[in-house]
Amino acid sequence: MIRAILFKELRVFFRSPLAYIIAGLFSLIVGWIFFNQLSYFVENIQKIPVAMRNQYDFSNEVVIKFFGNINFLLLFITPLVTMKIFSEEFKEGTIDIYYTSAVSDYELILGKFLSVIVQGLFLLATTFIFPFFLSNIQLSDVSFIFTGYIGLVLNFTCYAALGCLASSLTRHQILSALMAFILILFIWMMTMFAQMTSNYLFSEILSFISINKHFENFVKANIFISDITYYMSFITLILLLIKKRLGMRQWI
Amino acid sequence: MSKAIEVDCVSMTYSRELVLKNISFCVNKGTIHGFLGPNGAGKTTTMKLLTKVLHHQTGKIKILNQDLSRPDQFFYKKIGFLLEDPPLYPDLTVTEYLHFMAKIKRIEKGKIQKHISYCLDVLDLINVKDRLIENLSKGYKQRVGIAQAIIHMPEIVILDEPTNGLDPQSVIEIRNLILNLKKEHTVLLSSHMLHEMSLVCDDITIISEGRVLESGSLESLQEKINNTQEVIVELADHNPQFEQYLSKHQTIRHYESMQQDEIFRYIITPNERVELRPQMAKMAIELGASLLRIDRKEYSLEDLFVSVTGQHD
Repeated sequence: MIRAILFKELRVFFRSPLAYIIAGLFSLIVGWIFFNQLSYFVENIQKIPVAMRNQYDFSNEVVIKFFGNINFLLLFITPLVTMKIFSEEFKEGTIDIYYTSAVSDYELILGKFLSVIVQGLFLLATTFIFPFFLSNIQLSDVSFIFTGYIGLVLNFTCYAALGCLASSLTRHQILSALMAFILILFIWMMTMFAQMTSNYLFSEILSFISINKHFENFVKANIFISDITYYMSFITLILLLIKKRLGMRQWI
Repeated sequence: MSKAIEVDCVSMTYSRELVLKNISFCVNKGTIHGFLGPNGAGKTTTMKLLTKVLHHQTGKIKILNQDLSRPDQFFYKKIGFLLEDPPLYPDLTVTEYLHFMAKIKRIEKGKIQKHISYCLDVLDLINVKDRLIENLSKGYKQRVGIAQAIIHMPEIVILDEPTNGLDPQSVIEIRNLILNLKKEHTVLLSSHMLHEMSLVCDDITIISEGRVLESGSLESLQEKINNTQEVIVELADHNPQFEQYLSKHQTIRHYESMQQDEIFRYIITPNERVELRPQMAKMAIELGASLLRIDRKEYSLEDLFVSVTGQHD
């Protein structure tokens, strides 16, 4: 059942021009950022004396920033991917198809959520070409490219869950995208809130809630169980909220 | 006759408003049951309750003798539902859509193709099976909507205003399709198009402002309103003596007169259930009136509808 919903969603997504517009736009912006970072690095390193060039680390200056920038772009792209996922079903009345069939709310949510993840993987796949360019450079450690992508996928999954939640709250796609953006921005800004407070305990809690704190560890190739637990708990909590929302059977 | 659907004293509040007020009616197996009412009467809400899209708050609903509050896992196989706006995915072809619907209705893998072929055949969709749904006409979209409602061969098919917004040719085609469905399914059909209902339905339930006003077979309801014995008399010229007779005669409660294209028409209501026609014919001739027509007034479903909703107001 989950597979039927997943494949239907993917078929609809890949038939829509929106998929290719988003992918094209995303790829273009990522390419432009990567090119600029690379040029900036080359420009800067030439100004540094040869003896000191070892201190100017390529991984820190280009690769880690590259992941950070993709992560930032996902803040804007994810709401575009998720805005239709439930809203359109409410608006067109197609949600009743599932309610009058043998589909449980869990199957519906998982089918749709997995389809969004596959769509996200498709978008991220367009950026694989940039690390591929770097294969000519003798990087001392490439593991952080691998873990960086895992971090991006996990971040996208969390954003997607928030996007799906926003989409389940309204039948208006634009409103859904806007709500998703605000929700994602909110968990982004937790680090800032943590820095603003003087209470140590509160600051630690906010810092733990912030998604970027955990993402940083992945990009630096430091994978902790606590980070994985954070992502899993976050996604489960949001999916349960969507389940609760769909159980209400009333749309705004 | 055994019952397919039994609704007993069901009430429902939606957004703090009481939209269904203690409604009760039955749908017999193997019939086409019309659910008639003006817009906003509660037809769609009732249909959503029957399909468990919404949950009822009070009262009892039985589908094929099974309590709806405790449905078994096969409940969804027994009912097919078409909403007022067919729930379609415009980016899928007709076959892809029906295949998806077959899967989520849990039809066995080996039987899916057979069920799709049946739907394409019954609803005459073979010519458009590979076309994207967004490129279909409204009439064809409606057919695809009906196809998804019957793809799992349910015993009960619930259709919410299936002919709404269609051109006359499509209305006739959909009407014939609905009559065809009666061979295999029990059909509950909602509409505010009274003429349509009188052509396809065996039984009718009239609902207005969340209340059931009348429910029964089409014949019994028509009989009920045709029971008044009103008589229409048409004369070719004005005859004051005839009018004087009508106003003085004891068996006549009242009469209405009107003139249209040189024809003088009288609608005469008797005091009690008496056959007025022989007496009226005799008097018209005796008084020298040029009699054109004398007949009992027949009421249509429209009259019944206006009559019961009017009483309620």
